[in-house]
Amino acid sequence: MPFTQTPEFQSGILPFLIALVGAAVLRLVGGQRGWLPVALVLPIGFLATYWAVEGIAAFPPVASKQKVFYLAAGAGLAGLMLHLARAGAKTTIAVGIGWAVVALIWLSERQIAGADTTLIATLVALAAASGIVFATLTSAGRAPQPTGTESTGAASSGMGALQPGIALMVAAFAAGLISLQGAFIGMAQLSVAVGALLGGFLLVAWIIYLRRGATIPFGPLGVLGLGGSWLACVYVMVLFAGQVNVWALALLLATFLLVPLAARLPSARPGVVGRGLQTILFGAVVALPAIAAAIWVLATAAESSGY
Amino acid sequence: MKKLMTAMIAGVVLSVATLSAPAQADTYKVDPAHAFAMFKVSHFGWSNNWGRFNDVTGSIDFDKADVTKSKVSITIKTASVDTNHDKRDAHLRSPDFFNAKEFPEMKFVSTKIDKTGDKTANVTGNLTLLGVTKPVTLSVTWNKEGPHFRNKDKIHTGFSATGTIKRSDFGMKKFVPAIGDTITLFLDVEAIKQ
Repeated sequence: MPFTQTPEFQSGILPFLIALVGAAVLRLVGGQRGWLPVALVLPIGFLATYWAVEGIAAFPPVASKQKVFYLAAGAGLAGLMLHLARAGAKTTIAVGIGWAVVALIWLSERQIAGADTTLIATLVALAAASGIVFATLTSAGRAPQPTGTESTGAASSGMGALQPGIALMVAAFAAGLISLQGAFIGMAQLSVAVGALLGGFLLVAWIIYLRRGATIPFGPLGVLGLGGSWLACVYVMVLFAGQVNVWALALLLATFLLVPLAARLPSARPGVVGRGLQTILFGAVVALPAIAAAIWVLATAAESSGY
Repeated sequence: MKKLMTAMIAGVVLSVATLSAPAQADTYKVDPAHAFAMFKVSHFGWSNNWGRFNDVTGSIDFDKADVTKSKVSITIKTASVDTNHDKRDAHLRSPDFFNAKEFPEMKFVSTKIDKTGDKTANVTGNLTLLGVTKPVTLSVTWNKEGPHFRNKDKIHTGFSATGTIKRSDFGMKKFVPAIGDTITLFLDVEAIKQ
């Protein structure tokens, strides 16, 4: 099998490089005032990774995992429009919840006609969880400021812009592992790819933060464009992968709920070392539920066998 | 005399009409206990992996006078896939392959039958798998028909069929070509006359 067709390349190296190079280029081209939204690389990177992992999505899409591509594209487009409209936090969250409701209905359209109460309850729970995820990602640090006025520090101030990215990254890696243990490799690859995309993006963002004390905003493109794409993968895992541990997935919600708490940790001392340590500490705290979920699925997984 | 002539003419007309009437197809219901739907697929080129579906139902309208007028309808529950390996079967049921939760059934409905021999025919029909419908042709052999040795009223008829599909045609692209795209199908079905 050529290396470019291996899961390691498709879900790890490729998205990481797309985000790393893309973010660096957009940052350099856009300049310090960031007239080009660097976070644009995130939804574009997800769609490119989807193409590598699943191939070109059928149109019109028939199966739920084909719909993920179009849901991700829609979320990315919504994120871009919110960015251009300089939408505030409340608008971003409202659009996110609206997107989530439409996505869940579309994904489960075949089953929803049966009006099964378990399914309805699951859809409601997923929509509510999505609202929490969008609200946390949007509010982490401060509200998204589309023009990325990082030099003034008024908008994407300090570590604030890194917080949503770190939370989403650890949740995405953990969800990938949960899906893999649940015998659903497709969404596992895409979820890990979300983590890898953020790894590349946050590396650029972190370097800027360490040097300047303020960094690239996550904004609606990150919140909706990548957060929504990841949630679409989670919806398919929960609704259609019977072996996936949905309670371990539910535990990942705590990753997002911990963000405001972790953000209150003592502010970094001035300087590179202080900022670096604060980032690591924040990451370690929000990663706790993700680590717990990972340990849970690994401990309860049947003995692996290469078939 | 006139009445007798009328009755004779009516009798002749009725007889001719009866003789000319097309033979009705007999309806058979697939016997799930004797319905075997199996498949094989290349595994990295090292060997063929074999599997089967354990839940096969359907009906056959069998017109022995003109087999081209027969109809076949087979339904298979995708969650019944069985390759003798629990973890692999769980993966096959997942959205990576048969997506059994979203598409619990696959269905074959014949559209055309071409007789190729005394007891053989090519049966073309629409296979619906993962929500996608594509034409598929099966080479079918009619093995035998006869009463069950324990219950003479139960007439059994049996068929064997083979065919191939490309799973990517139905959107099942995961791990192609490492796991082969071409799936070879084998069906052996007994059906009971209704």
